[in-house]
Amino acid sequence: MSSLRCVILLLLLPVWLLENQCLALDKNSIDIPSSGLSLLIVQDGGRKKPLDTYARENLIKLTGRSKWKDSEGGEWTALEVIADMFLGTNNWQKEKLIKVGHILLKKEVGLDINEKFFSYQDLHTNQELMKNLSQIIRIEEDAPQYDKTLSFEAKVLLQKIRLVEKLTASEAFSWIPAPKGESWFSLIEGIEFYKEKGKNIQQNYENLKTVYLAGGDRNFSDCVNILFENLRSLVSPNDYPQGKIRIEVFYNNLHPFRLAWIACLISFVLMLIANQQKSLGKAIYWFGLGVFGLGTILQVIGFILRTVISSRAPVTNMYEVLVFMALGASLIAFFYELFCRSKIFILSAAVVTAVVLILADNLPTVFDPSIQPLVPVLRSNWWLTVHVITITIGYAAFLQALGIGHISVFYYLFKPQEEKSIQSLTKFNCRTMQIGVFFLSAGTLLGALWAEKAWGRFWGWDPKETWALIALLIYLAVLHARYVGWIKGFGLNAASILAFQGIIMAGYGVNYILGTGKHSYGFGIGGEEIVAIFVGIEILLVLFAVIRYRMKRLKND
Amino acid sequence: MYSRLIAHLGSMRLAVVLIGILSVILIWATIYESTHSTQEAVSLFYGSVWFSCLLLLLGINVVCAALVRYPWSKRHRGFLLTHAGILLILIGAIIGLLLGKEGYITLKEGAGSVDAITTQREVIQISRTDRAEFLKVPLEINKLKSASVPIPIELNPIIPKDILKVSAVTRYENTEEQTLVVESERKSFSPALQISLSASRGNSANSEIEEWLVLSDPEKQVLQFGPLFIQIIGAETQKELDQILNPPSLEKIGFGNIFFDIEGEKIEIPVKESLNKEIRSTNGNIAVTLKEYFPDFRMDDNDSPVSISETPNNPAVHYYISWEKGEEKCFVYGFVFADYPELSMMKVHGADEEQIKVNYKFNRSMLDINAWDDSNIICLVAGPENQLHYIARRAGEDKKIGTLQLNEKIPLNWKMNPAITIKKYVFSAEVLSQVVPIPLDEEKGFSRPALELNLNGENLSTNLMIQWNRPFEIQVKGVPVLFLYTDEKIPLDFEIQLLKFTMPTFEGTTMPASYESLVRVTDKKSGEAVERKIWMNHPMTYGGYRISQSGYSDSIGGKTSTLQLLSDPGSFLKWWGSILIMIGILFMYFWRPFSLRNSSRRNEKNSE
Repeated sequence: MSSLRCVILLLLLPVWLLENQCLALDKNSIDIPSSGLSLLIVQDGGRKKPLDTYARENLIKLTGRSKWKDSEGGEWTALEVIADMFLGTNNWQKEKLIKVGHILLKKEVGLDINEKFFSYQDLHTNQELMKNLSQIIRIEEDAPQYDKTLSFEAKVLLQKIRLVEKLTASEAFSWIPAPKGESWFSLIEGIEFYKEKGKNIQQNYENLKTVYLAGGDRNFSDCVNILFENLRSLVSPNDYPQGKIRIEVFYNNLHPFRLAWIACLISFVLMLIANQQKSLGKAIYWFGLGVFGLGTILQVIGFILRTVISSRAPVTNMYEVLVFMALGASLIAFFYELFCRSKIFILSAAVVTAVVLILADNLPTVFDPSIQPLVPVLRSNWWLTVHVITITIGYAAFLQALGIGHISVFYYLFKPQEEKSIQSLTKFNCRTMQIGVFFLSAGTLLGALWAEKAWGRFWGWDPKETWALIALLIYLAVLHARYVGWIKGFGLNAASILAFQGIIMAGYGVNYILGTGKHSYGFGIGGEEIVAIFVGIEILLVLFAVIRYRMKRLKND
Repeated sequence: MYSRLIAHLGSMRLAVVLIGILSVILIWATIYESTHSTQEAVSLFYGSVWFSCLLLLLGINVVCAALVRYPWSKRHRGFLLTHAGILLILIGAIIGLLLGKEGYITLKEGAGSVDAITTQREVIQISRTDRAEFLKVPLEINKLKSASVPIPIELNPIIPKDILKVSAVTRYENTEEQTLVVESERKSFSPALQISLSASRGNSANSEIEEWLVLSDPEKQVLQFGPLFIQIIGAETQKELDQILNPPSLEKIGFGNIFFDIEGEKIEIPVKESLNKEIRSTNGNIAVTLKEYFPDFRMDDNDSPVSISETPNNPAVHYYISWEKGEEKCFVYGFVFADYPELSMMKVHGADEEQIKVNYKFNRSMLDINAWDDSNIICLVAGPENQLHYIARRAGEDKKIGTLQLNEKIPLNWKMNPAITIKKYVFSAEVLSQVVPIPLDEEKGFSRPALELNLNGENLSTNLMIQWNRPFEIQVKGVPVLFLYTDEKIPLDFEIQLLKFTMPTFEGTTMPASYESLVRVTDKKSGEAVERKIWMNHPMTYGGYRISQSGYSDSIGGKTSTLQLLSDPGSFLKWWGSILIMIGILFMYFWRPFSLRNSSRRNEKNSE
């Protein structure tokens, strides 16, 4: 019964992850008073956001982590950290908050390379270091051949130092509303602008601070409510949109995509069990399908919430594209499964969705989950939505094909006797790739038509569009080669795995590795190792499979 | 025979091979682009002839694949539609390339309207200024780059061949006008010195710089290297030289001279000798009085002029001029500054201000001016009979004076200063300029290309460098010919004026959220005008052109907005091609979902 043990272990994995990731985060929010402040509206990065979001974004920026363990072992949520800076006396300038990961940078500026975190005081009072930093940044400006990552990292570090300075100063951020899309005020500016009313706010703030420092009690939420009341009275309700902010805080706390990948993993395990078990198989299958459906619905909810929060289709950066790709793959699998029950679609989709969502969920510095305003060139809701969503559905289909490809290759190698399954898998893989080709070519053509409108040319061999074309050509070559008869069932499945590496390059590589061209608004850095390992494993896997398959065929002949 | 060729050209095997080759080349090209530059990638891959051939071959494959399957049946419709769509896009692209017009207009807010677009194609414009005739010859840059022999430029009909033949030799990506100083034939005193500076701590090999100091050119009188200033001073006679080397007290120098030009009548007045005296012009008509001299001019707290010291740090003179024009009495009050001519001011009654020029010359070396006390100064004195002297002073120290030989280091051991030697002394300098190619400086974001032309005529065979957008005129056999190397301009039937440019930002930031140009477009024939806002993703269509927002700049001179104008007759083909491809794929893959199942079964069977 080794398989049963295996299954139980697999079942325990998501439970463990669930406990680790989800519960720990929200555990403290009941007894720490600062949670009431999560709804405080802050104007930052070109939009209004709850303090909750502001805190999460900035803690990740500083530490690369979503919660903080202080030197005495106490655990803080992002909101608690930032609220404590805002209200408290706790000396965060001495806390080793600032993450410096780049070893070369640490060497260059004279920091201990064995340390990962440094305090504001360590860095800011070290004049030698500050001088070195600004020198590294200046040198880059003079010589283009100079190490660009180094100076980039230096700039990031300088920004982090400034950020701690800003957060710990009394003039932390802009939370006093201003009328009609104007720049919001910090407390001092607010008092100057609103005079009497501003002084009231200051009084509220001082009261809040006193209560907070006294340890917080019921009075704290009363104080917060009075503060909100007074802030709201300063401007028209449209300029202080508490409803939308509530939605965003709800979204932040829900973690729909995290719950979704947990659901995917659970349904994956359930589907495996359903495959083994004869007696209870059907019930477990339906339960697994239900869990998968729940995961998909959670993703849809997350997607809708993001749309509401940002007032646009959430498909403008790598994180959003990944999340939407996972949703697409889930939906395609779910509908396949509804029309012909074979478990296999859920199995493959559950794995690929979970992998993609885990990547998106756990690498906030690579795939930035924050919601940001759109650059001017993208500001066309119709084109943006149609172009990116179509392309991403194409990616999603290829992702699903990747999953099916893995399973069929597995069948070819280890269960070649199940011809019927193999045949239907191959058929669906082909069909899924066709869907992908349809959507990717539609998306690429829509992109070209949009480019004709926005940039004045239909096609300009920009790296991003060239790679979309390359990915499309690879799949076209696969499909055509199959018609010619150069590849058969096994080849098609193996090719669906290899061809997906082209999608990874088109989606991730162009923005993160090549880093040239007109799609610069999506550029980022980081994650190269993970992606390289993934691509390497996939290629080795296919190589191994091809060799084994050939040897088997030779033996049979 | 033909049908077999077509069968081969239209085979799916060829398609797979071509698609494979194209993919590999494109992957290579994008990697090349990221390691080199977009320009290089375009010239090596996307813009090259063989790349076009590959695409053409793919097009032929698509056509032949359709022909091979003739006569077509219903099950071919998806395939045919898709391939027709691909063809339409290719044809649309070729039409766009051949017949399309693309150019840019840069408009200044509140300025006049523009009625021509500037394309990115370069032309050489040749005109005969005596007859107002001109020719525009488009230049094929790529052809010119690879050409081994000069490409002739047709000058007919404006200049006959026996007068002048012109051919394009090559094009330089970036050039610069360099100063060339030669001995003039006039032999009058106008000295220039070529100096060389080399870093005293020679940590890099090419740290030697050569520069010219020219007395007659105000821009080349002083060179600055960080806190160090080098100034040229001329002394035509021994007496002048002695005066410079052993300067008399400032009282003896005087207060400089003022040059008046009043409605053509010229008067020169030495300030010191003429203060508070009425000086008459040679015809006696004009009377000038220098009312007051301010050696170190300032405005005090009550806004009245004062002198804060007796040293001539900022000499200014308050003057009064009066004369009679018939019955009318004209007079002028004014202030004139020696160091800041642009600040001079005057009040004129009864005459045209343009007709009155006042110029205050007060030659002092920088050493005499307190404002330079914190700078290190080296004055190089070019004296008579090739004598060279220097007067140097470091901030806060005393002057050092000495004589110099050519190629001898100025004996100063100032820390951090470059070693300075005088390479050449030109007694009667004539400043010429020469266009030389220099490497492209990508950081600068600006380059000035130049075209090298070969001119051939009777008694004439020379190569000329014509810089971009700088007209160049020569006389050939009494015929004035003007060359202009510039971007091609295409006239429009309408004119565009920028009424307002706005750049809204995201709330609370300086990040631009949009770039918006409010323009007025006027039809030239009917005079009808339309006002519209153009912004990203919201172009305007007018007169066959699509006008879209492309760039902007917001400098002290005012806001400018760059619009792109595009007329592409192939555009609709691209749209229809795209639609056909999509419908075709739908038909092919999804219209009859069961046919595929059958075919895949068949394939599986075949494979066994």
